[in-house]
Parts: sequence; C-alpha cells; structure tokens
Amino acid sequence: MSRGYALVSVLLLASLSLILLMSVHARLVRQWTQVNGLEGQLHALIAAQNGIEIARAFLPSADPSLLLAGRDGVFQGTSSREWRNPVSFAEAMVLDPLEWVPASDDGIPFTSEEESLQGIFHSSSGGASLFRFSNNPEEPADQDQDRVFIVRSMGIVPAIGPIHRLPFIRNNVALVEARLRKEEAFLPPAALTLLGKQGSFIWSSQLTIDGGPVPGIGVLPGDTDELFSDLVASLGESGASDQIRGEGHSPSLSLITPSQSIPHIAHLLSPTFWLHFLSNLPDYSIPSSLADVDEPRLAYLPDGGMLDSDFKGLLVSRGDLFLQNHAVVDGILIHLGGGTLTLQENALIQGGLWVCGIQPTDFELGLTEVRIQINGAARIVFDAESAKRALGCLPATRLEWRILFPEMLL
Amino acid sequence: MDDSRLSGKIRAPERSLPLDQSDTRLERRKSYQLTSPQSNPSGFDCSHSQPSRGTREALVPEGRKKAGYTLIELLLALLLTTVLITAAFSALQSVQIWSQNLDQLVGRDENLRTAPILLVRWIAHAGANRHSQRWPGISLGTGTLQVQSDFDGEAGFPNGKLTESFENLSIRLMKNELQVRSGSGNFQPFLKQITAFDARLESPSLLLIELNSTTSTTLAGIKENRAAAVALRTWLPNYASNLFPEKLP
Repeated sequence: MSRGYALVSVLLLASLSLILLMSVHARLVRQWTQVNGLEGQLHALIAAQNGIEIARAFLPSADPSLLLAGRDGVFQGTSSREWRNPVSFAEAMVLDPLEWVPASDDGIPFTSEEESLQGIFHSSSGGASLFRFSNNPEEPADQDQDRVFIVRSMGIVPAIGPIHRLPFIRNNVALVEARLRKEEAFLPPAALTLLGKQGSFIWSSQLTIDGGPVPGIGVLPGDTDELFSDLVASLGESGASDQIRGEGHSPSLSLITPSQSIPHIAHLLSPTFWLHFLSNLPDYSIPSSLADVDEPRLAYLPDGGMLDSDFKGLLVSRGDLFLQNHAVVDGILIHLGGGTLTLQENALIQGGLWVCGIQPTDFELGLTEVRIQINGAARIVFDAESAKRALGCLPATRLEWRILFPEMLL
Repeated sequence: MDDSRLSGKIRAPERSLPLDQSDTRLERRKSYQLTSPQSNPSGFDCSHSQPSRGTREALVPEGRKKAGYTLIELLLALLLTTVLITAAFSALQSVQIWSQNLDQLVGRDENLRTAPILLVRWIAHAGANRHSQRWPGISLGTGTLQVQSDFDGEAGFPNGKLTESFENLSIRLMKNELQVRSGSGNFQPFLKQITAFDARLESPSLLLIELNSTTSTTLAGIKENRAAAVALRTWLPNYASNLFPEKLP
C-alpha cells in the first residue's frame, strides 16, 4: 500500500511539472509565432519597398510605348478590380512566388521578346517582390503622354514557424505604390541645341553636324533673337553652312519652341527647374572620373576638363571643356556655359549636344553667352537610340509613395 | 529429507536457473524446514501454506502480536510528508514567480516588437501627395508626432484632402501609454508601458523614433533592469531627394 501512495505522489508531482512545462512551452511558442508574424509583416513591407526601387531603376531605360501594353503589345483592359496590382491581395495570401505567372503581361517589364518577364524579384526566406506598371489615373489607361507611371509592388513573404506544417501556406503580404516620372527633359530636339543670350562661334569647314530626322542646329527662344543672329552670321563667315544637315536639307537651322510634340522643352526655360537640377546633380553623378566604362553613366564636370577617350551616357559640364584625340561621346553632352566648348582632332558626339549659357537665380534663367569652337573634322550626329540610352542614366523622379491596404479601393 | 525428495514435492519453476542460484534456494528451504521438524511429520513441505497457530506464535516476536503503526512511525511519516509537500510547493512557487516574471518581460518585449510594424505602416507614407499641398507632413513636438499623408480618396487615389482615416495622425505619450488619434477623434492607447517616446528627423527623409518600455511591476527575485529600449529608423520616401523637381514648371 505504501508503494501505491508513493506512486500517486510521484504521478501528481510529475503531472504538475508537466502542466507547468507545457504552459511555459505554449507561451513561448505563441510568443515566437507572434514575433515571426510581426517580422514577416515587416519583411513583406521591405520586400514591397524593394520592388518599387527595382521598378524605379528599370523605368528610365524602359520604352514607354511598350510598357503599358506589355510584351504582346495588346492592352487587356481595366475590367478586373485589382488590375493595377501584380496579383490580387487574396491570391497573394496563398501564392508561392516561385510559381507566379502574371494573369496579364500589361505593365510587366521585359527586356527582350525572348526573355521572361521581369516583374519579380526574389528575396531571402522565400520572399519576393512582384511589381506592375500602369498609367497614372489622369490619363487613359493605355496611352501615356506625361511619362508619369504608377508602379505597384507586392511584397510576399511566406509565414514561417509551426504554420508551415499545415497543408496550406498563408503569406505575409504588403502592397506599396509609387508614382514615378520618367525624365526626358534633355531629349535633344536637334543635333546641336542652343540656349543663351548671345553666341560666340568658331566653325571649321571640315565640321559635320547631322540631325537626320531633326534639325542640325536648334535654338531655344531666349530674351532676344541675338543668339540666332550670331549663329547665322558665324556660319556665313565660316562657309560651313552646308555642313549643317538635318530634316533632309542643309543648312538646317531651326527655332525650337515648346509644342505638343516636344512639351518637355518648356521645363528648360524655367529657373526653378535648373536650380533644382544643378543643386542635386553632384549627388547623382560621378564627379571627375571619365575613364572608359562600358556602362552608360551620368557624369558631371563642374570645372570643365579634357576628354580624349570614349564616354557613354550623359555628361554635364561647365567651364572650358575640350573633346579631342578621337574622343567619342556616345550619348548626350550638356555644356552649361561659363567657358568654351572645344571640339577638335576628330572628336565625335553621337546622340545630341546641348550648349546652354545659363546662371539661374530664383527669379530668372540668367541667360549668358554660349561659346563653341570647332577645329578640324569634328562631328555632331543626332542618334535617337544613343540619346535614349543616355537618358536612361537619369533616375526616375519619385512623385508619391504610399502603402495600400486591402480595405482600400484598389 | 534429502534433496531428491524436495525437488520431487515442490515444483521448481520451468525456467532453468544457473546452478549457483538453484543451490542457494535449496539451502534457504532446507534451513526453514530445519527450524520446525515436528510440524511436518508426514514429510511434505508446507512452507507456502498457512502455518499452524503454534508455529505462528513461535515465529512472531512477542512485541508485535498486534498489527499497526507506532506513534513514532506516524510522526515520522507526517514530518516527511510535510517536508515533501513544503518542498514541492516551494518549487511550484518558484516556477510561478518565474512564470510571472516571464509574463512581465514578454509583455514588455511585445510592446517593443509591435511598435515598429505599427509605426512604420502609419508613418512611412508621410507626405504623400505633398507637392500640391501646403501641410507639413511631419510635425515634431515634445513627446508628440503628427503625420499627415494624403494617401487615399474617393477614387482610390489621393484627393488633396486629409479627411480619410489615418491621413492625419497624432501620436503622443500620455501616462505611460502611447496613444494615437486619427483626424479630430479622441486619442486611443495602442501601446502600454511605454515610459519614453522621442522622434526626430535625422535627415529630411529619415525619421528616428526611440521608445523605452518597462515591466508593469517589479520583477520578483530579479535585480536586472526592468527597462528596455528600441530605436527605429523609418525611411520617408516622399521626402527623398530627386534629381529633377517633383512639380515641373
């Protein structure tokens, strides 16, 4: 009988201990699950945010005419409730990102006809960012003029922990939207575009300026017509007029005014635009190195310099700048005055050239003299593809960023 | 009585025992029978049956003729039981204290872990649609933070007004509670046991939030610091710089 009492006592104590241990364990598991849930939600938000940044990096090089309709070139319409989202919220909750196939290719970026769609970026822990572009609501869904796009990024992170043992997956999901603008203000309207008060030009008879489908030389409207007059006079004196070709004739000179076809030109006549651009340019550009790099890039030479090698991308300079020794600028060169732009020794600009004499203040553009000197067989050739590649170095502008929730009108 | 008779009358177990163990058992039985040679004149071994009265009296000592426990045995048993129960309850009390401490610490840490996801979701889109508006987006005061973001509207897009839920938020610390108010409503607590709340802009697009939390009561048996802190940096994409102006002329 005493052995029985001992057994009962031991069992009682063992049961109590077991219950206590189980309650502590259950509490720890609950806490762990909650922590994982919170971390999963944060992870999903960060993944969504990453998707926006990836889309932002993609937009400058994207072809706007192909972006909205997708690879098949056919816009599927706006009939579904969440047509702007890469996937619906409900689907994202149970989606395995590895198996995602977009229901429509509208707004899904792609790099070529052959390659797969690029609207997904995988992150750690099985998570992913899915994103889709769409047009801003101020315009028709399939027609873009203002280069403003909506991009929505869905961050999906599978729930981890005990829930994994269940026969279904429930993801942590976050949806972020950004309104981005593709920047085309420096898309050249001519092979050589001038903006200034007056001009000082030295042309070589061996010069070639070829605008192809656009004017050879274009002049933006300034305070007076003095710049255009100086240009015409200098060309007459040099005998290089016939070397200025464009739009099927020579000499090809044109006054450029903002219009429906080139609305972005108007921005360049605003001191606010230039003040903002010049104050932020050092943060976005490579300041001095002009060594050969295959990838197009944005470079800024605030004090001018000498370029005698190849450069791809968009080069901004102020002060005396020399292009010589067969130097090639494959892209866009913007010279902001404060010195002379000299092209010599078979230098080539393939894309477009802006020469602007400006010193903007809060109230005025501060137009100054533009100075160009061309010696020997230098060439300026308009190339739309090179110019677009160069514009791809300009980051898309963030206009708005917000988090979307399922209960909102999506 | 020889060994062969013994083995013939008492059924040995079927299993075979090692020789030395079998011998030992036989020795024991022999010695028992030798103590009462007259009780079994027939020669049968009755060691497993009820002994006769005379035999039992001969075997039981005089002082134990009545069954039961002595007082000392009871006292000892009582004492032992008391000691065991006291030890068990002491152990249980310790576990209970640890459990309460754990609850306190879990509660404190839950606050600090919940804070980032709540605050980031409310604050990250501060300044949405600010470029065509005049409101400041982020306003900092002593122990208060006001967040304005036009992120919703009737058509699902910002409408230039701060009338939707959570578009005009105020967060403040009051009586160890972090409270939030949407629009012109009342402040509601969303995190308790917060002892300090500080927010400041490290750059136009980076908001630093520091929170201190503590347990609701003193931790029993533990001298460690009850307070814990968390620092959270929230990126504000609507205030990130751009190469080109957001609002084109």
